[in-house]
Amino acid sequence: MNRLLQIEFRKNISYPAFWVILGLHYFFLISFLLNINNLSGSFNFSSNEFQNIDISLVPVFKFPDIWQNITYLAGFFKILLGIYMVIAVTNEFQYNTIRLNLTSGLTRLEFLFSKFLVALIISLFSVFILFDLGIFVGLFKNDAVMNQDFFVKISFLGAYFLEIMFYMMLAIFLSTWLQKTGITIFMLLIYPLLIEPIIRWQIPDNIDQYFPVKAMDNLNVFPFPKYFGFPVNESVPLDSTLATIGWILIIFLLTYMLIRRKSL
Amino acid sequence: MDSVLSISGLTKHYGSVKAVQDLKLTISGGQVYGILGPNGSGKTTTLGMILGIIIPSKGRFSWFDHLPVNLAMNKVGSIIETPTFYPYLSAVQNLKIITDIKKKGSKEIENVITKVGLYERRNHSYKNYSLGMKQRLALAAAMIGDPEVLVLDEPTNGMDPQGIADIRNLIIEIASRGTTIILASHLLDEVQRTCSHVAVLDKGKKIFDGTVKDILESEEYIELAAEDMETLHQLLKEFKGIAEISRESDKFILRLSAGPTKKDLQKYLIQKGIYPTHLAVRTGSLEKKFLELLKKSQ
Repeated sequence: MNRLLQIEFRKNISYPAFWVILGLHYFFLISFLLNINNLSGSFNFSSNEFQNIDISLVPVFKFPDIWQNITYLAGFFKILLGIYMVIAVTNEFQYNTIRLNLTSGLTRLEFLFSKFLVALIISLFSVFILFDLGIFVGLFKNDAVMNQDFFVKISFLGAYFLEIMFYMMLAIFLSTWLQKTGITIFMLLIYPLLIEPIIRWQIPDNIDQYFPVKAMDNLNVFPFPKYFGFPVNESVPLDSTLATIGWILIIFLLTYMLIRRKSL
Repeated sequence: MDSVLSISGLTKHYGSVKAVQDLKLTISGGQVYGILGPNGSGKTTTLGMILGIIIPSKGRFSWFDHLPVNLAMNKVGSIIETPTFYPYLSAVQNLKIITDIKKKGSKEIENVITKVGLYERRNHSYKNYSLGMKQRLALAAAMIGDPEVLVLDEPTNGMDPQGIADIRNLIIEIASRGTTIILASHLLDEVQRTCSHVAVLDKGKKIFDGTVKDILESEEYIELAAEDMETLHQLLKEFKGIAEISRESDKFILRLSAGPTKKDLQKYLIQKGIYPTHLAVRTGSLEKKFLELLKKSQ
């Protein structure tokens, strides 16, 4: 595993797109969260009846909801992480460097696993960033000392981890399947927004909650109605958690089956 | 000699196109094995399969008596088709990825880069290299870890004459250390100068295999002339052991069959009182044999 990490470290660390895209991701994420209460007017969150909520009225950083709130908002920025994974994986096919990896002695499984590790490291780093941000901003904005409340909803950081991990695995799968950067990014964007919702259209709720994107979305649903008197999830739902973990494993396996018998 | 690679029944179809059909080959340690064939004859597909990047439709191959392909690749250095490296990395950075994969130290990188003549440009980004330089880097990559076998697919593609000569000398030097080399090429001269064995492919099928020495000997012609061409012609007709004879202006061109030697022929003529005024040996060329084989297989 150290060997695979070392190899991916070499591939990524000198790649300008790695710094640019991930840099933009954390820059947008952090500056958005730090400034959220300065934003005025209504925000159109695509969550049906609770559209048009005045974000400046929402106490985003209030204990102990802070973790649920910031990880929910951070989820919007995962598109950039997905795009980076697409570029990193499709490059291997476009430049044919996957051949170089295999003819040097890497197995296809090791190759796939090395990309999984990249997604894992990026996810862990993102969780680390959000955790630090939560502690820093939480203490600052609440004008309070750290108390037991602080960590009550910390499990939403885990949900955030699963959400971006799932999204990057989807990016790896689509990249391996389609191999071309443009079309893969397009698919990565429209699958959650269009393709899966169309498939789910006629499927009853008790089944469609286990669909991959739906399960991922259900990890952390729009939490702000709480401040306007509506009930929301107070913890990460167990079935969505298990379903998302299941989908991450299934996508890994599907990707392996795709690449195992592929001529490159 | 130990078998390094044995291939049997290897077949690859792309839809209805049969790129490689029922290929059988055995390559032993220390051989310099040339794989010849016109464009599209299946050379690259064959090499792609034995290197584990193309999945065969049928058939088997085995490296070093059934070593798994990825482990075999630790002992095999290869160049396949056009060089493929990470364009935004330098030569050294690219080779470090390979030493990591092969679990070798990065100490030898400088050594191989010097050997292929890229030392001056080692820290420049790969995307700015010329095709010849890319090809040199590919050879450097293939040499990492002092492999037991080198698989080279058109290694001098896109190189200038100096580069071609450099690479050829390097291959000969590597072969002289006992490294097995599998060389696919359509440059017959290159194969003739470097290889000990050769297989010829056409439309995915093997149409010939043997040693280069045998081919060249079977393709050896003798030029002969004397003052009295008529008597010479008569005597040559009577000599048993001439496979082929033709007249080319003022001399005869002939090829001996398997039995008699050039010495036997001379002795015979002198005994009959004919002293040749011209006697020369025209060594055969792989090119001639190759074209002949292809013509036959059409």
